[in-house]
Amino acid sequence: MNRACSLLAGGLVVGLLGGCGGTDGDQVGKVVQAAVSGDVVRATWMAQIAEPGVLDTMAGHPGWQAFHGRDYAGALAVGTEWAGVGRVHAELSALYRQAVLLAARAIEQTYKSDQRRDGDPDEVDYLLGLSYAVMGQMDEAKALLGKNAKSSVEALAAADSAWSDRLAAGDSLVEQMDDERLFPLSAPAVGTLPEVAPAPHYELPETIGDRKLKAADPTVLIQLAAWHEAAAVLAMGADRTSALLAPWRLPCETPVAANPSTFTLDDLFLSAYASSGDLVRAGAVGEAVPDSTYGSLIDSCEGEGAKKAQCASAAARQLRDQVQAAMEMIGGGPSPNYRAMAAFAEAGALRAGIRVADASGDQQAAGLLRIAAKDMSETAAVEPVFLVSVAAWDAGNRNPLRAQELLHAQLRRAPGLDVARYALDALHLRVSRDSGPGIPMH
Amino acid sequence: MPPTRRMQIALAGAIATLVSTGATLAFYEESLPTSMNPLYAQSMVDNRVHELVLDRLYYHSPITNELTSNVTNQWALAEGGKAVRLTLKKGIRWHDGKSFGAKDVCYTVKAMLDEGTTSPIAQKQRAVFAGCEVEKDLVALVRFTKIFHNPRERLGFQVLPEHIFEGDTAIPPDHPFNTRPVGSGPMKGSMGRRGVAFEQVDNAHHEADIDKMILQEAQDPLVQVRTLQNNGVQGIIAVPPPYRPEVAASDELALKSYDLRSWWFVAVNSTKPYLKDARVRQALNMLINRNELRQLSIGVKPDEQNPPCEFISGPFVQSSPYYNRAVEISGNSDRAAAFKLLGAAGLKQVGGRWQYRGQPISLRIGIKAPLEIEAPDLLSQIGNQLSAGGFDRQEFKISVDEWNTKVLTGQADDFDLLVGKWSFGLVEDVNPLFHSRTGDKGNLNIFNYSSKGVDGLLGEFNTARTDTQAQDAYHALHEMLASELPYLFLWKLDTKSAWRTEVRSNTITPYYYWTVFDAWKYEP
Repeated sequence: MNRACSLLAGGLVVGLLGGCGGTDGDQVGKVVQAAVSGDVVRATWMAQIAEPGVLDTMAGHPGWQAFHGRDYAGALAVGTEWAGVGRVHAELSALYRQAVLLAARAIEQTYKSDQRRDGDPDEVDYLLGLSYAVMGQMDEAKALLGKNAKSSVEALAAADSAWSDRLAAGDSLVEQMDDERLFPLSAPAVGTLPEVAPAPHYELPETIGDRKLKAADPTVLIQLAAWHEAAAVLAMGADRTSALLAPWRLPCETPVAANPSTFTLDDLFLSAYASSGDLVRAGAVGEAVPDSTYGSLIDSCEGEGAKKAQCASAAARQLRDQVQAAMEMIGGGPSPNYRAMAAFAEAGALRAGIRVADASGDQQAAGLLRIAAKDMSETAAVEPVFLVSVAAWDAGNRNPLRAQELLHAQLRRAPGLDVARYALDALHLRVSRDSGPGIPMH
Repeated sequence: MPPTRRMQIALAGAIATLVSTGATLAFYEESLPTSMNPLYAQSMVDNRVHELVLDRLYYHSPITNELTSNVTNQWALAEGGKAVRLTLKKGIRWHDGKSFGAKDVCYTVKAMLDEGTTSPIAQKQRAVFAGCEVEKDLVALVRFTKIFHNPRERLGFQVLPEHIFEGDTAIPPDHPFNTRPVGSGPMKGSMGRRGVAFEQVDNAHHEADIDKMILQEAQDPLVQVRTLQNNGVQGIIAVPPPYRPEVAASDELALKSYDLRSWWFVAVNSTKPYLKDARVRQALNMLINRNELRQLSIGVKPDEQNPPCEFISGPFVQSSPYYNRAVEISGNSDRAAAFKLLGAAGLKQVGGRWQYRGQPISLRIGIKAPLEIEAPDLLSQIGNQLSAGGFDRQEFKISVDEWNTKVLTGQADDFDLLVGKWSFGLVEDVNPLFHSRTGDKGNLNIFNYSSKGVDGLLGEFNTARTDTQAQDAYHALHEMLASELPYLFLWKLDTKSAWRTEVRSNTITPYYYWTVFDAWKYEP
């Protein structure tokens, strides 16, 4: 089978693609260097779905078909009986979490004390306070929240008071909030998407001139994250939901340990976690997890910076080749889907490398691996959560350009994501107007 | 495949293999650079090449976005924040062996301030810099016109060698430096007729791993991809979308994002009597079926999710904060509405062809030639659509040189429509494109379009005190241009590069491309 065939076919392919024609002679008998032990590869979801009949059953399901393209609305529309429905809600919850982190970082980089400009509305203190809360900086948050409780922008004043009260009471930040002042959503219902208050939510008067800054409230994203988490819990239970969310929780949340034995193939299929150990490891950086596919690979990379990134990239590629070869062996020959599935292993290994580099403060390696994983995740192994997390990382680095492209490409996938765009736009305006002049180039 | 194309591929492969012997890295660029002087850069090719040959004082890391410098090791605010004192690294040399120092930094600032330097970039810098003083051999005091937030962000210019210009701060566009530059960057470049050869230069601040590199002018996209697959070249800067799946499917090649904000347009010559009425331009806009154009020239299917090519209704990409999302995008054609507008504007249809004051209209349509590589047949597809709408047309491919000397200088009055592309980085200043050509304004205004309303909004943008004022001005501009249509706005097209996997650590810097070239490795 021609390798291009599977990619060009789009989506998942059920059975063999007779129409694509050609043979895959170059793949048969290809020598692949082992990145990890055979047992470890056999434990991956990629190897499990290569068993005769498994992939066709899963790939043939309209829910997984939609999920593969991360068409969340399409996947939810399949119905509540589908085994992947909780997974969709959990992934949406993670997506909104990363979007709120993106907004928080962009707001911080725009309005923190050394970046304020003449004319900035007084009410940005509320946005900044909430952003600090999201980022787990509660002292800074408490110092700012409540300052605008008497603002002429009534909706913002009300939200400011509500958040100030919540923080004072020690309430959790990410949970469903019925408070009318905080953009409450309907009761969670599995297989649906809630209606969202359209952005912008506020028009904030600038302190010079007569303009008003259009702003969106990250509270909406927090509510969406909590809503989908609740829906996921209804669909698949608290343990599995918690484990799927663990790698994406916000700095303000308390980490929850996951139990690898709770997972099923439905939790991992089409994800960048090759095994349950990888998922557990992703949610618990620094703790040894013996049966993690990526752990044994990434931990062997020494050094730092570019050296570490190169090692991790090479290992990830090697793993992809090994996983693909294993799938072909188990499945009894090549399939157009195997390369696409094995790409998740490479993307996952790169992302495991990012977490290790982040944990050790190796910004250079973490950045290089992010860029490599991002390039992969835009074509094969598409995972919007990861792409928005890269945007959040960029926003924290005052780099709005790539963040905007990444977020823009995901807007169609989940209603309400555009809330984060307002914060990112503000950052872009600030950073670009600080730059030296530029002229158009042909 | 036609036999001539097969021969082209074989020949290109053979030539490229020949030049790439001895671990020379060869790659295809969109075209050849037109000037090696960054003050006179006009194209993205120019911009990219300058990044190899010269040093910017400060740049952002493409990885962490940290503001950093290869040539300075200290900085401090001075004169109450209206100046920056820079201490340069020791031991840096120009490619001809002369010492790099504060005199070069100050020379560059003074050259930009000199009215005799007619560069549009220098004109813009005059609003930023007030002067520069050499305090010691390696210490320069750069003065600004006012106190800027984050002043080092303004120091992203390339440093020029004072000794080459013999201290004369008025740099003309035809100075020999433009073709024979002396730089301080990781590579020494020499421009030939068919390409640019680069050679690594040892220096105190650069240690490039790749010794030699050759830039070749892009040709037929299939030839490019086949030559890359055959290892005749190792990279392609911009892979046309139809070929991306093939590149992505290969184990020997890697498709890499090149973050760049590029949008495509058809400029309309509103000084022509038959195009002067905005209703005629609006009708042309309605005759264009962008969905069909995109499918036929770029290969995007109408229902494709996240296509590499996204329609726009004004002079910004959709992800930009300046893009006005309230302005509708026109994807399909509407011939009935177009005909109504043309009739209302006084045009008459005779025998199915449109006439103005009794004379048939024949539109002369041009395209910057290299764009036909990225979007094959775009020119003829636009021509076909306008022809189907009742306009005769003639088609022309315009060389890069002619584009620079004739089109960008506002002297392409013999054309009615011109297809082009503009690229931007973080700064999306469109003032030079749409402001009336007066003094130092509107110096990229292709057909000398002039509108008081537009000029007013561009002025508002320039003098905006707050970010919101600037954003509001450009939102209003977007709306106005979408109605007046000096351009028919087409789309944003993502740029992707392809590199063979033997090329490693090849981080592509957004917009500038080669900024961290020192880290690139080629291991054949």
